[in-house]
Amino acid sequence: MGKAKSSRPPLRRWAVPTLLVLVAATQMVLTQTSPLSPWRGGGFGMFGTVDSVGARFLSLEGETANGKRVPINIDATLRRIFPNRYDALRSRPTEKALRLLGEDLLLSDYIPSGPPSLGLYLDKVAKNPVSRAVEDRLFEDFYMMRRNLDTDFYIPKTKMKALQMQVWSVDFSASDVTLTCRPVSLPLEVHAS
Amino acid sequence: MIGTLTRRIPALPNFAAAAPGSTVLRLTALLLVFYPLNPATAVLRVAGGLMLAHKSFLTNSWLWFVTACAASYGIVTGWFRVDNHEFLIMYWCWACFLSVRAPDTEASLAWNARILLGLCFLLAVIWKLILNQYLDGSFLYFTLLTDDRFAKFAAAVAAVNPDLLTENRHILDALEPIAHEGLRVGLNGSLRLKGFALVLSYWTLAIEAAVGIAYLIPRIRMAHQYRTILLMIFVVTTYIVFPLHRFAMILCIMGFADCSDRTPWVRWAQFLLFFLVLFF
Repeated sequence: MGKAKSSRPPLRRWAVPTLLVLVAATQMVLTQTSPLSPWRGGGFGMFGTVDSVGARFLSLEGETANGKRVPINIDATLRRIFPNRYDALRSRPTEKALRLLGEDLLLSDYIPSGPPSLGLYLDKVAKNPVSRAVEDRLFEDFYMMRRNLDTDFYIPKTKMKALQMQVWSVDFSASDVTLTCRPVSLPLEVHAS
Repeated sequence: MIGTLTRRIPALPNFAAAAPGSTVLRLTALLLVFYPLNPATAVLRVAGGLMLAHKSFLTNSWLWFVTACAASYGIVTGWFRVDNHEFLIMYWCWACFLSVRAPDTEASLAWNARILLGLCFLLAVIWKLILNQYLDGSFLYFTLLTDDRFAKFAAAVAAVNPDLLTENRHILDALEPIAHEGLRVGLNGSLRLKGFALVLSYWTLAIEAAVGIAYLIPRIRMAHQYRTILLMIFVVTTYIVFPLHRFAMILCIMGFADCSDRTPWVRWAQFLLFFLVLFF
């Protein structure tokens, strides 16, 4: 170790640790000045908060041609088409990132779909009164992105005139084992050009 | 006592006498071949394969430069998407590049490993202290209740029906399309798991702080002397619960790079742990 100390220029010796410190400092600043999850960005803030990317959600509400507002289910199709951007968006949901994804999503076709995990929820709601808050939302008309190579060709497809997007996280209460949604981005509406 | 024991095992080869720097570089190449970083997967696999194939490639600074650039490309293009251990692997690739160019490769690897390990553990501790969901155990309780990767362990520890934990994950996923301000839903809980999460929280914080201090502050002799053992304790106790192979493997490589002055017993244990973590 002593040998290296004397033979290596300080710049090269400290180059990599300095890079780590600079990245970590930037990440700390970004978590305070933007909605960056502490888990991401290279600051080693993993396993310290519930607010991980896996516990962040993108809610999408579309406006159909006849002006009706409908919630859109983010299913495997959407995740598969935009895997990296979907993940990066939840990690740091800036207005620009939301807008860019929204503009691409407006190009897709949408079809009506059933509510997500309905069976599970009905069961859960019946058992747990705390979950009743979700009940009304579950019976709305959900839409999903149309899959090109699927059997849904006979379902009338529609384009959305506008999309309202917002990213959410959850707060966890260990005392009553409940999750409460809270927004981590402002709602953004993107219109078809 | 450990020293006496290891001296009585004549067959135990001494890594210090067998170019441990090369072993560190080989382990790094092995990690890049089997667990490359996206999207430069092919470049990293080819570079790692060449390094494993012939020693001249292993110490070729140009090849390490290409490797470090490829790893950095993966980080830069997915800055807010990649996990922290991928940043650590990228830093380590740069450390390998600078070390193969240094007059004493082994000492350079050891220096970088010690400082990088110390810094990443220090940062992990700082984050846990400043985020208000860690010290009351609620973060780990939530993780054990909802994260698929730890479901088997959580179910075994708390004697909870694994289906209830799977249901928790479904509930979390199902929040996406229905999320709205103030929406509140219940999860399946377990008092035993809650208690275990609290103990695990403080254990993790204590061992991370001990590792960070031991690697960064040589003046605290006792901790510094046993830093490799502290790191191994962290790896075993953490990654048995949270099986994150790549993270465990890069920590093992760096721990091995730093322990050239340790006893052969410790060096062997650290070396073998690199492979053992795959079975966690």
